[in-house]
Amino acid sequence: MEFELNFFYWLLSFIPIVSVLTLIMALRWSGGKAGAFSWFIAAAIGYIFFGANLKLLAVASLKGLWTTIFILYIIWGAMALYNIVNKINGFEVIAQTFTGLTGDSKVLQLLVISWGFVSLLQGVAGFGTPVAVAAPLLVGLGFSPVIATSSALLGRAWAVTFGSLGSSYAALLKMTNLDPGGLALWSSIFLTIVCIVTGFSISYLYNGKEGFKKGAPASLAISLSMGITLIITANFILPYIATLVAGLVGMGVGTLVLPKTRWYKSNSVENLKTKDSMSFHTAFTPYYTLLILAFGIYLTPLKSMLSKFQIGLSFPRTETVMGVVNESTSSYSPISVLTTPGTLVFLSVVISIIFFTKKGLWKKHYGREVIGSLIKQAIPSTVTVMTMSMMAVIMMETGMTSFLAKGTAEIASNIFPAVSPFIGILGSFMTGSNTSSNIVFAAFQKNVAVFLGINSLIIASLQTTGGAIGTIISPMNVALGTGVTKIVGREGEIIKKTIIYVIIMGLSVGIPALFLIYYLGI
Amino acid sequence: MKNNIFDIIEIFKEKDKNRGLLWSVIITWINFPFLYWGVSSNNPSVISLGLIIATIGTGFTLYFG
Repeated sequence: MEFELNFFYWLLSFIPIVSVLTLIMALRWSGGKAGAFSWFIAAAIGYIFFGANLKLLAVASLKGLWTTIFILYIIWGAMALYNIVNKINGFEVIAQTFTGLTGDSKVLQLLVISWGFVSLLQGVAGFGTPVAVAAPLLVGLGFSPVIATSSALLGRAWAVTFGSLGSSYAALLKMTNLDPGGLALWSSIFLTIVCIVTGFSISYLYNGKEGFKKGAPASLAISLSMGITLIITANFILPYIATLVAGLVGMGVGTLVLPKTRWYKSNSVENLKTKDSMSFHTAFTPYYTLLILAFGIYLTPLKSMLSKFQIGLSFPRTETVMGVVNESTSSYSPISVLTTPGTLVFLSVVISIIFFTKKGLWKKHYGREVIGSLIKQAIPSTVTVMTMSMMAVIMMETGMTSFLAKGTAEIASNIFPAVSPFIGILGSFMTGSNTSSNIVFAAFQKNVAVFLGINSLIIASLQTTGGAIGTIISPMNVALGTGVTKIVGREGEIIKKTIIYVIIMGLSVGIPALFLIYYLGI
Repeated sequence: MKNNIFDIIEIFKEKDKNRGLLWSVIITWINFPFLYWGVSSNNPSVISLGLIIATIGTGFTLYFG
């Protein structure tokens, strides 16, 4: 009887997640709309079946919203920075420079644009921008639209978690409350494995065994340089800029080093000067500024001085009729206002606008136009993050996440580390976003790890790695790719071509994690 | 983005997705301090009203999203 009761509650706990899945996948609702509906469903189930009162639902929703401030601050800042560079046609100059530098090796050109350049763009903007910018560029360089779209989707995945100035990583932190250092360590290691698989996957996708062979030296050199940079930056400098720095290093290796090696030697290598009136360095100034600010604050005593100023809200104790207790807190999820990544990004925005105005590149009316496009671009993801976060915290505070985790721990106890990345993949497949996947599944995955008594840092890191991988085959991202390369209707072909790499990437992190946890006892 | 983001009638008439969603975000954040005051002071009427406003914000998202 008790099992039946538990099984019933386990199924009930699944309903908000199934609701998000069904509404997005079957009814093609937007993330925000599905999140809003599922928040309502989670609240109703919590109230009717889990014995939550209105106060608990209100507190959980407020906590969910408060958690998003940190994430939204980064998202809006990253989008503002992207729009400023885009407004002065900076990305045309950046792309033109990198294309000129790769010479005439097609496989190197494909790897540099669809992987290095896409990673760099993911580091600074994300939210579909890398695919939207790189895929048409590749088509313009003579690649087929299917190859261009598939490669850009593959090349972007490994960079997502620490990309967009770390918004997915921020969501992972906020949803799990685990040690930031441990999460950065394991996530960067697993993402480096995915990065290594990525280069070879793109080369094979381009031209089978021949492409694999020709692309092997570049795949190895770029993946190792980006992976090592990611691990160093995420663990010793600042996780929020890890993809940005790794992407820069990858581009440097792909454009300045590899074209001079015997595998890719070319006679048509150009300098860092473009035909445009603006230099590469001018176009890249906002990101140089961000890097200088990040290094200046995070690697100096300034960080400890400025981090003292924190804002956190106090929340009262809540309890369900079933006895799930959420203790009161005096400072829930505090934000260090002066050192939070969002502040650094917005500071870079202001400095960049002053710089571009002095250079005569920034016109008065640009400000208004940038705000207009920023609202248009950032509002849908803002609503998605807000509603899904409220839903996820309601699930946590009513005990649904624990029920789900307990049941899953019983079913998949011995192989859970290998299953874990695929849960992350499922999350981003259905929501189109690593951040949303982390908001929906990170707490659940951590709880399963706790019930199984295994390393929750590794499991949470597998969640975000899977969340990053799943963006490759997410129908929303694929549709964006087919839209910009003008092959709308061929989404199935792209998913068919890339799904095998998604499975390989999932296994490439899941199996080592299984070994680490159960054989090495880490 | 049109100039007058506050023209609710026009937003509904045109079913303007961007401005509608912007409104759902505005309603949610205006409601935040109100609902927070409700839970901090343990006032059931304010909590109920705050949750009703939150549901209206959700309605905006469902309609325009």
